[in-house]
Amino acid sequence: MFRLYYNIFWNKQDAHLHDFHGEGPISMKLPLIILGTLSIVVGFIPFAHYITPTGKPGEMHLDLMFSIAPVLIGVVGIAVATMFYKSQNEKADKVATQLNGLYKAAYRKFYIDEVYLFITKKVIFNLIGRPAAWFDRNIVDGFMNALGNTTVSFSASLKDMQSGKVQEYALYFIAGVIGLSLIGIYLWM
Amino acid sequence: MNLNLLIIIPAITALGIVFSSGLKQVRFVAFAGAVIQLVLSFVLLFLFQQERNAGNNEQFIFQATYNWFPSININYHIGVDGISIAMILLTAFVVLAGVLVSWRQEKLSKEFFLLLTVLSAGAYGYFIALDLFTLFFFLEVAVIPKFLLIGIWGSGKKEYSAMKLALMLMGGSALVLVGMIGVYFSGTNSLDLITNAQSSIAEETQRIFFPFLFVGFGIFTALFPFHTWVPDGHSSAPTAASMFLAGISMKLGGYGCLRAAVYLMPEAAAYYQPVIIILSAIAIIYGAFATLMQTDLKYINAYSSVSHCGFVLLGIGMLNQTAINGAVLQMVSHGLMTALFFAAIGMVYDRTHTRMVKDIGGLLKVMPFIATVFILAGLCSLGLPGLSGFVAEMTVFMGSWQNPETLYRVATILACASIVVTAVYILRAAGKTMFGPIVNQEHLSFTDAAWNERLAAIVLLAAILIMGIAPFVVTDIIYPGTEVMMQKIIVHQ
Repeated sequence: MFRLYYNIFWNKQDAHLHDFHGEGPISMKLPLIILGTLSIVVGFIPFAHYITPTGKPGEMHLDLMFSIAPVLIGVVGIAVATMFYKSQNEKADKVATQLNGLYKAAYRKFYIDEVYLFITKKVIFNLIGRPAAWFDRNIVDGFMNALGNTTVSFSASLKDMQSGKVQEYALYFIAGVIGLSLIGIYLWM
Repeated sequence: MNLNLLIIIPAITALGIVFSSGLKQVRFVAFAGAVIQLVLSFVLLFLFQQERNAGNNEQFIFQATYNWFPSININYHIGVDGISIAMILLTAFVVLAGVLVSWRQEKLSKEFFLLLTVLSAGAYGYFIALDLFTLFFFLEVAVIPKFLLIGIWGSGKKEYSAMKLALMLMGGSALVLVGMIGVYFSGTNSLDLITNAQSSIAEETQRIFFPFLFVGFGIFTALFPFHTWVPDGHSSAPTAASMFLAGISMKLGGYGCLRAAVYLMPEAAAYYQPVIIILSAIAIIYGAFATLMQTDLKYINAYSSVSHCGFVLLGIGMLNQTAINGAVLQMVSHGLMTALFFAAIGMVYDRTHTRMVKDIGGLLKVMPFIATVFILAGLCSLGLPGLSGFVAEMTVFMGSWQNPETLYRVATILACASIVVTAVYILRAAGKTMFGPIVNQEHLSFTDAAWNERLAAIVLLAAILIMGIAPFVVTDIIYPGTEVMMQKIIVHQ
């Protein structure tokens, strides 16, 4: 935050300074004033009893270590930002060069976006989505189509039995008689 | 109220269409019929609630029985409970939107609207049937028009898709028929739902015939691995037929699984529960991953439907009231949402003449209304709070998690995880087609939605929003219906 603060309001000449038309009308200032004031005094608003399940004012033990440490860390952060950015200097660049790996990782948001993209594009899309779509089209749907095609070819082969040729019908008739006779003989024996 | 009106009105509409000439007359008759159907559905809802408030606690209200085939004890028996009413309302909304979307159907308009009307009559008859034969009869009435709608007015490999859809659904019907025969000869010599529910079918008989009924109806609702008619059928169908197919027809299966298979054979449902859960979980996660790789908008929605209908079967398979409520909610929600999505895709296709994601881009700038509808349908699909998808899916998850066994917990986790995959493919498709630069400069000249398209989208969006913001409107209707069914299911488990 202080890096932003120093960079915007302190040392550099604004490239767009000629476009500067003052701080804006009251309609822009007023919300900022209200929000700024509230952010300072919000801790003193007595709403503690609204945020407890019992409705009684919340009680909190103040641990000095947990209070001082964050403030100290904050102060150190502000001090570092002041050192680096209050006036134009090369300190920040030097540190960035020295801690190149950390700087790059932080600059790239610790590669979280890249990891997300890798998981979605390479893993989910390529390794799960594509095989699922392929499986559905070729295996599941392929099985259904094969079932239909098998029925069609079976029917096509049966179709030839009704050729209109009396000789063929006589052949089927005799084959049937022989077949039934054989079954009859087998059962009788 | 005489429930026959739900069939008589579409029948009169169909007759009116037959005697009309020219697109203007035909579509006016179809539109008037669809509006009357919607009004009638709301009147039914109102009278139903009035009966309930007056203390009528019968499971099914407005019952009527007529002898159909007395020699084999088959009756035309009709009646409604909360579940039927929710499905009837869904049908009415989708029918009206479907007619509006087809407003400029020039090719064989009379036949087109006639078939849409017959299909809707089949769906209404199916949802009020209390006799398995009546149910089966209307199921078939709803199947035949789909074949013709795709075969005649479809696009792409329409003959193949129409044949595949008809054969697979007929296969499902054949299985249902075998299951029905099993129910008939289980001791009651009746196909009446109430009679069979009151007299318990022997567990051995249930175990033999439950798979026939469940798989038979399951095919209609894209049960894995019998879902392959869905992508081809949906993508080849004209817009209104896609809306009817995904919005109504796929729900016939889920409704049948619940009303006939699970309700009449609860012991067998409990016996086969792990198989149902595994198949549902596969459909959900596998359907979602398969959607990721689709490049055609209709295929995206079709595969997405496979995944979403998996939630219906998962909810039914969990055999507890919360999950079954979720399943019914999901049927209604998905019906509305997918109809809206197909309507939006149809509107895009009518203008761009392409459904390929790579060929479309930046449409939000050119046609903001259609793009907004597309995005809202997508957001509903991925379960955004405030829209119906969230309510339905959340209820299914809550119900599923009540089942403490590891298998069911894993299935629930997988189902929940599929939402992330849904978000990826929906946002990717919406991002590429609606946002970014315009891919084809010719698209700059396209106009936004016409009044009929706007009205169709608004009708469906209104239902989605009401269900999303005030789910009690729907759950109050459904809950008593599932409660009575659960009493039987729990006792027999």
